[in-house]
Order: sequence, then structure tokens, then C-alpha cells
Amino acid sequence: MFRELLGRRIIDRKIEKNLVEMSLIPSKYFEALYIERRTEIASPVFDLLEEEEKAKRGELIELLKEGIVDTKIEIVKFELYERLVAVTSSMKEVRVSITENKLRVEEEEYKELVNILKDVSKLGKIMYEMVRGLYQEYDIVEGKMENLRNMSKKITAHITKFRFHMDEEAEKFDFEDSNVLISNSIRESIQSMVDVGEKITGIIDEFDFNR
Amino acid sequence: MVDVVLVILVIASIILAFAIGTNDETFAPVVGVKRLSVRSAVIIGAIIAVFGAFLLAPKVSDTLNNDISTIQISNEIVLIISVFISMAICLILASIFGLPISSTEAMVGSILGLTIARGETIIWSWKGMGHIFFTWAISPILGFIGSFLLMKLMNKILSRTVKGLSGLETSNAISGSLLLIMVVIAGFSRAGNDISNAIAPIYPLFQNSDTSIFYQRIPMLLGGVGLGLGLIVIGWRVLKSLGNDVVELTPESAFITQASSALITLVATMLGIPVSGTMILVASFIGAGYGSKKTINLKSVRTIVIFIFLTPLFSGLCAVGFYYLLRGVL
Repeated sequence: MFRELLGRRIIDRKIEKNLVEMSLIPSKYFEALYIERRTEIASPVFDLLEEEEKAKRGELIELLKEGIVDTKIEIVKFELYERLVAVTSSMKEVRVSITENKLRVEEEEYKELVNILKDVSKLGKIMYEMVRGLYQEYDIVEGKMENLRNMSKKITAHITKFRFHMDEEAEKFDFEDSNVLISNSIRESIQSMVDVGEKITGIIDEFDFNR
Repeated sequence: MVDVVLVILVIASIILAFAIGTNDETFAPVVGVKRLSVRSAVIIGAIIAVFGAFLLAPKVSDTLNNDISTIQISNEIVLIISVFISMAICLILASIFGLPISSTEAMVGSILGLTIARGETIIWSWKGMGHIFFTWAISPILGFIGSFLLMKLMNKILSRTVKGLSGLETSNAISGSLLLIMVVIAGFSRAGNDISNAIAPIYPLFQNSDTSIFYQRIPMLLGGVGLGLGLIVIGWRVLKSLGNDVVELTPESAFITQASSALITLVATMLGIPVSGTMILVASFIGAGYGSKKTINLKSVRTIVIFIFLTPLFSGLCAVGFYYLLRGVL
């Protein structure tokens, strides 16, 4: 009751800080992954970023639990958190799949996939700017969403081998193929970033007084 | 015999105070925006009810006298108890269904019922029922228009100042805090005012210059405790229903609801226009909902309106029934 009376602004600010910081992790992670794969020098950054992501996720879940979690604004923040967790989970999947399947992919194809990581990092940066825009300036977000969509389309156009969800298309690919496995994980990561962007535009539609 | 009468009156007063507490919708906006849980709201509301009733001076001099008919209920104990019990039944029944009703309506219905039953005269002029009908007609209109316009103004200000979710949360926090302060003040004032009705018959019996101030304030304390208990035992239903079912509230619209109903009541009182607090608050909810383009639950509104029309009728019938029953017993 004491917390109810004092209000939740301090908690809200901590949630904001953690969500914004957490949204920057995928961009840094893909950047590091790109550099590591290009240089073939093992980087300690992943451990640090994974630790940071784990800490932020833990802190956020505790902070989100502090509320009554049934006001609309708290629900949408939780949904945004879930989508960000989907991004961070998929980024780790990319690293695992690229590490495990590296030797089974042709060199040229591997290089192409690694180059895509650089663009995915940029996509992550746009996602981070959208999360920041959500909190600070709704107007920025609309343009960023356009960028996010266009860039994700551009990147996925380069990923030619991936698993289709539709059955007839799925038959075209061998799911044991290493290239398909890496491509799938990258596409999943890109899709999860677009999902974050769509969630943000949805939140703005709901809470912007000008709409 | 005097002691028996006193005991009966004290019990009737506590029951009415309890019933008023069950239908106290003051904290509904705070519950609606989840600033307080229903549990916290009823506990705080009960504490405020006890302090408000105990500390604020009651205005009981002419509470039980009326201008709407030739019947004066303070003249007969059977009349007082009939009115009190019928009011209590109406309020408690409405509260069980989670519906806010006006205690004034229940009282007027009881008095009219008894007036007709005893063959006395209803005063239909402006000073009598004309005044009451005007109150019932003007209160929802003023409540709706006031909160609708204030909500539009608030939205205009917010659309220019709130640029992101951070700004929105700051606005929510400020509105929520202001709302809480307003509700606490309203709770204090309501406890002081509403208890006056319930303790009117017993208040003079405790006013003796030889006794301590504490003794003289016992009726208010009893009324406050009754009101607080009513809020805790059944009142949560009304808070939950009005706060959540009629319209989806934001801290801003809840603040507007509370502020506009307080402002309208104040202005109307200053201008000498009679208004009903409950009707204004309910209409303010709807006005703020329309003003912020939120969906109004018309089913809940329809039920509230039906109960508003049924309350005087039901309380009148109850009062007549109890009047003949008590006359046979006492």
C-alpha cells in the first residue's frame, strides 16, 4: 500500500533505462560477431554482453513485477520486454549456429553470411533508436520504422536459403543444410527486431494524444 | 423506555451509516486507474471515513426536516426508523449489485411514500419537489458537460506537451497524485456530510455541556465506524464496478472526473443551484470517457440509470411497509 501511495515513477524510470539499454545489446552483439568472424579472433565481448543482457533481463522482470501489471501501459511495456527478449535470444542462436556450422559451409557462402551480420547490427541500432524514440519523441519513430522495414527487406533479399513456414516451399530446402540453419537463425533475429518495431508503433498508436 | 429508544436510534443510525459506506463511490476513480488496489482503497477510505466523521462538525440541525411534504419525520420515532431502514436497504441492495445510487434519492422516495401513505400533502412547488426534480435533472447534465469539456482541454494540453512514453508516465504520475489528494479531501468532506444524515436523530441526545468533547462526538465516531465498515464489507463492489466497468480510465481522465465533479459541486453551491454529488460523479465518468474518445460500457450505464429511477420508488414502498410493521410492534 505504501508503494501504491508513493506512485511508481521511480520504478518507471528504471524500467525505461533498462529497456533502452537492453535494446542496444543486439546491435553491439552483431557488430562483435561480425568482427570476430571476419578476423577469426575470439572476442571476450560476447561474455560481457551476455552477462549484461542477463542482468538487465533479471532486473526488468523484477521491476515489471513491482507494478500491479494490469494497467494498459504496464501490459504493453511487458509485451515490449518479451519482444526484446526474443531478439536477444535469437542473437545468441545466430552465434551458436554460425559457430557450429562454419566448417560445413562453403567459404564464399560463409563470407556472404558474415557480411549480412554487419547489416543486422545496423538494423539493431535502428531498433534501439526506436525504443529510445518511444520514450523521448514519438515523431522520430515513424521514420525509423520505415527504415527498419526497408532495411530488413534488403537484408533478407540476400538470404536465399532459409526455412519457409509454408509446407510446399519448405520441401525445397534441406533442413540439415548448414547454410539453411545459419540463414534461419539470422532471419529469425531480423524478424524479431521488426516485431519490436511493430510493437513500438502499436504502443504509440495507443498512447499518443495526437492520434 | 428512553434508553430503549436511544438504543434503537443508535442501531438505526449505525445501520444507515453502514449503508451509506457501502455505496460510497469516492475512491472509484483511484481504483479505476489502478493507483490503488480495491483493498487499499477501502482500507484508506475507511480510515478517512472515521477521521472525517469524527473531526468535521456535523450539520444536523435540519437534516431530518424537509420541504417536500407536510410530513416532518423528526417528529415520530417510527417515521425516522422507517426512513432509515428503507434508505439502508436501498443503498445496501444497490451496493451488492455494485451500483452507485444517490442517498438523497432514497430519502426523498421514503418521505414521499410515507406522505402518501399517511394522506398528507406533497409540496410540488419550486421550494419543494420542484427543487428536487431540478437537482436530479441538472446534476447529470452539468457533470457530463463539465468533465467532457475539461477532458477535451486536458487532451489538447497533453497533445502539445507529452512527446513520448516518458512524458506520458510523468503526466500519469502527476495526475495520479493530484487525484489521490482530491479523493482524500472528498472522502473527508463526504464522511462529514453523509454522517450528518445518519446521526441526526441521536446527535442531540449526546450534546450535554457537562460532558466531555469526546462524549459529545461519540455519534460521529459511531457513524464514521459504520461508514468505514460499510465501505470495507460491501463498498468495494461499487468501487470496482464504477472504477472499472463504466469506462476505461486513465490517470488524466480520472483526475478530470474528480476535479470536474468537485468544481461543479462548488460552483453550483455558490450559485445556489442544488446538485447531487453521486449523479455528478457518475455523469462525469461518462463525460470524461466521451471526451477522451474511450468506449463507454452502455450496458453498465443503462443499469445505473434504471436503478436511479427505481431507487425512489423502491425506498418509498419499503418505508411504507416498515412504517406499518413498526406501528404494529411499537
